Amino acid sequence: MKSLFTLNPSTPTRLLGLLMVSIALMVSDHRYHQTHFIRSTIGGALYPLERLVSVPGDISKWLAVYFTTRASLQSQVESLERLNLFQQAKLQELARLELENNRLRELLDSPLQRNKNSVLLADIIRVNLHPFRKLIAIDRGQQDRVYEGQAIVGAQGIIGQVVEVFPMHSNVLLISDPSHALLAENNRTGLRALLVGSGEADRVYLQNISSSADIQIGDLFQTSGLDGLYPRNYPVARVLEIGRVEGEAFLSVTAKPLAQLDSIREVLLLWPEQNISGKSQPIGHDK
Amino acid sequence: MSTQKSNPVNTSKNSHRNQATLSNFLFSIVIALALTLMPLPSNIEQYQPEWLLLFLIFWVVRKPETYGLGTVWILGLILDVIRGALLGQHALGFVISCYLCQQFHQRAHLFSMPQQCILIPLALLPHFILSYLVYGLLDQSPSSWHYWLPIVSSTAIWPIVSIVLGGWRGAKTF
Repeated sequence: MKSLFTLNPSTPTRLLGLLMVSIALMVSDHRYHQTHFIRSTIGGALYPLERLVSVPGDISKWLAVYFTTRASLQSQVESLERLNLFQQAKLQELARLELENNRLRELLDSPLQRNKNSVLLADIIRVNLHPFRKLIAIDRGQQDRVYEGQAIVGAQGIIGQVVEVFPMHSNVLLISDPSHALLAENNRTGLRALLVGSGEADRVYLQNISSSADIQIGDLFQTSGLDGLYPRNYPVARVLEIGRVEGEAFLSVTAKPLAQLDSIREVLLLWPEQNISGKSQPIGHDK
Repeated sequence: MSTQKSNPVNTSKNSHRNQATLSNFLFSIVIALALTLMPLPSNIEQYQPEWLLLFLIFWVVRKPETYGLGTVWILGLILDVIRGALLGQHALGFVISCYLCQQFHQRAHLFSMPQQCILIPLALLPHFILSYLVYGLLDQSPSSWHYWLPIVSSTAIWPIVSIVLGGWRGAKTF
């Protein structure tokens, strides 16, 4: 009885062959991004198992909700109602500001209008895909028109961008990943800086800020929209500490992301749509 | 071919047994994938053993004539997709680790459990070193020593995996 995968004497040859194929695959993946088909096939095939594995967690979450006491629910409803009232009031103010803003822009004949973004809520199905990269998986994929490079925001601020799209789900790279960078600007002074992840969920670094720049602890950095990835004016991080080193041309600035990157449950997918140019195609899909 | 024809009873019995091990293999691989995909609290996450490689080492030593490097390579590729790593990164390390085990399989069959627990980290090491080098090339080198923790946890869990799967010599259920 001979089986299909018989160990023949050419095993070292086979090893060598597989090593070459692996290296070729890695190079083509890294340099030319020609491997999307393999990824989406395997990823799509694994999706049912992935959902199955998350069932115990979902059940325990559901049980926790089901057995919440009446008192705690009541207090939660109360605090949410209060929050809602507060935000309604703010929203009215915002509507007035928007009108005023548009009128001023019309007066100035500015071609820039406030972007109308369409959004979609997504659940996080898995965090920490990889022990040393800040990747999460969300339950929206190709079928929901998710595209590579799409911006993901949370309730407090920018969370990250989509790096891989599968048929039913997709992977998101968080802004705290060391390989992630975005161009942020200080909303007080307009100073632009590169915001780079540190590998830890509660801090990011701001690079290329010259030591004479006007920056203070507590400054809010928001997306500049100039990196071609993130829409403008979404808050990202607040300055935590500023390190000045004698003789260095740049400051070492640490900031804290506004979004709670290690405890998020739901996120929003953004589709930027620019009113004025008439382009409603998602941008950034260049791969 | 001639032996097959002359002894059909034996052949069918053999193929039946092969089918049994194949289904055991597939089942154990699905379990390994499920364990890899299992969401864990982040403080336990870093202790997660390299399940898939551990199971593959078991099968490669147990049945080297059936589960070769091709199988190992494909499963490594699947892990690459799961982790969002470069395609081929885990596959490369898996193939080398399993190749070493395959070369050792006759001696490994005779190893006692403590000896196996020395062999396992040595077998895992090439995979982790290669993966580390690839991260380095990509400028993503893991910053903390926690990267190496799965070697320890995998070794610690090995006796259980080995016993549940029936041991390298196949003395028990499988």
